[in-house]
Amino acid sequence: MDTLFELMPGKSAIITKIETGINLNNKISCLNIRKNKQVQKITNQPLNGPIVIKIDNCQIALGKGIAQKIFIKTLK
Amino acid sequence: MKKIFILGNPNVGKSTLFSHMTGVQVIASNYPGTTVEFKQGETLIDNQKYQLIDVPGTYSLKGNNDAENAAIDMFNNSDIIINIIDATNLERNLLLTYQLLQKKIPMIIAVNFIEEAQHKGIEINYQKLEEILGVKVVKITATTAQGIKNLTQNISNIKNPKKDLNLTNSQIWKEIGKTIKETQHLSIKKHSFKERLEDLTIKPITGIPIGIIAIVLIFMLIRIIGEGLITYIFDPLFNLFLPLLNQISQSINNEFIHDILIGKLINGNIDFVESMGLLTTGLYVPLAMILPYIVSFYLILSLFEDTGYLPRLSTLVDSIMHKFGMHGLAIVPMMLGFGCNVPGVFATRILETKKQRFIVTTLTAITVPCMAQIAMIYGLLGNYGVKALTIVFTTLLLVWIITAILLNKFTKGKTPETFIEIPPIRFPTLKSLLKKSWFRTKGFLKEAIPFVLLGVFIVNILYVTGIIDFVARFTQPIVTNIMGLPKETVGSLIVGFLRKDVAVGMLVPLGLTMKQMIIASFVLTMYFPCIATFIVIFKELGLKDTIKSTIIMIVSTLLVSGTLNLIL
Repeated sequence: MDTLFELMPGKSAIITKIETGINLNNKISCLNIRKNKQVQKITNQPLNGPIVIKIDNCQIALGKGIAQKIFIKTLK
Repeated sequence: MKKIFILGNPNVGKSTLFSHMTGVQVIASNYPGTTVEFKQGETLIDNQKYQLIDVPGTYSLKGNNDAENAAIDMFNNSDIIINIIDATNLERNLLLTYQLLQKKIPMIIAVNFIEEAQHKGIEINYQKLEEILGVKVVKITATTAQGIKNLTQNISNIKNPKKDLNLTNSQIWKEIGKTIKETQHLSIKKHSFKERLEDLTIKPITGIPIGIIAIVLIFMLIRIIGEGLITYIFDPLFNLFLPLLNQISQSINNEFIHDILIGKLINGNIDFVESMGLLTTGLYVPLAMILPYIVSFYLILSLFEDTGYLPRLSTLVDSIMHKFGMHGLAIVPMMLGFGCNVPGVFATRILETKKQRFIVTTLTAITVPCMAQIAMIYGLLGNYGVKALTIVFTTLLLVWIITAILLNKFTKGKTPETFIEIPPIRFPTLKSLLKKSWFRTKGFLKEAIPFVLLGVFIVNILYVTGIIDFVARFTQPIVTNIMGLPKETVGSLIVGFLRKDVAVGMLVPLGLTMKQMIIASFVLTMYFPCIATFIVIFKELGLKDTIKSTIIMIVSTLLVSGTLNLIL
C-alpha cells in the first residue's frame, strides 16, 4: 500500500490508515489528517524536505517520516 | 470584573478582534503562532466593564507546544468564551468548539473570513449551525471590524451551552462529520489567482527562485527606504536644528553642563555622531540614524508577515535548517530578531522543543544584530567602503553556520519532524501595514530614546569619573592582545550592555583603522546581548541554559575576534 510520501504531486488520494503514536495522531488529526479524508499532494521539497499537501482548504507541510506513516489509496 | 477569553485555532483572527474590542493594539499577522503570550485589555459592553484576554491559538484542548498549553491552562478561569472559527476551515475548527462546549462555560461563536469562504465556494448555513451547537453564532470580518457590534450585543445576555456533551475525540469527529453535512455546502470554483500564487510559492521549482528574489528584495527595499528617509527627511531636519544648537552651545559657560548637553566640539563644530551630548548625539543617533531603518524594516517585515509568505519560505528552507537541528520555521524568530532581539527571543516559543529554542535563542543573541545596530554599523563602517561591510556580514553568516552545527551536535534533545499549517496568501491593505509598522516604530521610540539618552549620559559619567580608564587597565590584555583594539574601546563595550547602537557610535572618535572597526563591530554584535534581550533570554531559557548560552557567546567572541585579528 502506498503512503502519502509516495503520492505523485498533483494527485489526490483518500487516507486509508494512519500508523502513528497516539500523540502524533492527535496532532495531525487536528489539521484534518484523518481516515477517509481526501488529500491532494502539492509538492515534495528537495533534499528529503517536507511534503506539502492540501486538505479541504488548507495547505500543510509535514516531514517525510510522518508522511510515510499515512497510508492512502490514490484516486484516478 | 468578568473575564472573557478569546479562543480559537491559530491564525483565525483572535488578535485582530481583540484590538478592535479593547482598543489595545497587539501585533496580528498571517501565520499560525503570532501570539505567544497573553494580552489583556478592557472592553465596555452595555455599560459593564469586562476584562478581555487574547491567548495563543490552539487546535485542541490538548496542546502541542508550550504556547498552546499555556492557553489551555489559563482559560479554565474564564467567565465567558468567544470562540473564533475560520469559515474556510469549518470542519477542523469545530474540534476545539466541541471540546469547549463540554466545559459548560457561557460561550459565543464568531465565524471569521466569511467573504473568503464564499470566494472559495464554501456556503455555510449559520442558523443551522447555531441550532446544532446550541450557542449563539455570529458572523464577523475581523479585519474591517464588521459584525463586532452584533457580537458584543450578544455577550450581555449570553447563556450556558444547551448541550450536555461528554464525548471522546473520535466521537467528536463523528459529530462534526454530521454537523458539516448539514451546514456546509461546497461548490467547485476555478483556481483563483491567490490559489495559483499559493502553489507557485511552495513548489520548489518556482518557489526557490521566488524565495531568492524575495530575500534580495527585502534587503534592497529596506536600504532604499531607509536611505531615502535619511537623505530627504531626517538629515535636512537636523540641519535646521543645528543653528539653535550652536546658540545653546555658545551660551553655556559651565564646561561640565556643556559636555553633558552638547558634548565635545569636533574641530570647533558640533558633530552629531561624535560630540556625545544629550541634545546632539543623544537625539541624532536614535532619530536620524536608526529610526529611518526601523521604519523601513518594519514596513517590509509586516508586508511579508501579512501576506502569509513567511511559512512558505520556512517550508522551502526546512530541509537545510533541519541539518542545523531546527525547523524551517526558526527563520521567523530570527527575522523578527533583526528588528529587535527581544520579540525574536519571545517568538522562539513557536518551536516545540527545548533544544530548538536553545539553539535559535543562542544563535539570535550571537549572530543576529538588531536593526539599530545594523543601522549604526552600516552608517559608520560604510565610510570604509563595501569591502568592510561584506567582511562583517559574511563572517557573521559563517559564524552562524559553524555555531549552528556545533549547537546541534552538542545540545541534548530532539528536533521533531516538521508539521505546520501554511496559511493562505492574503493581501493586506496599505492602511493596515502602516498602522502595524507605526505601532512597532512607536515601541522603538518609547524604548530606545530614553535608553540612548541614558547611554550617552552614562558615557559622559564614565569618562568624567575615570571608571573607563580603571576598567580599561584590567581588560587591556584581552582587548589589546586578542582583539587588537585600543584600550579605549572598553568604554564602548561597557555601554554595549545597555545599548548596542550607542556603543557603535562611541567607536567613531577613537580613530580606528578599518580592521579595528570591523573587529569592534563584531565584538559588539557577539559578546553579549543588550540588557533588555538578556532579561528575556533569562526568562525564556532559565538560569542554567542562560549561563550555557552566555559562555558560548564569550568563547565564540574571543575565538572570532582573535582569528580576525590574525588574518585581516
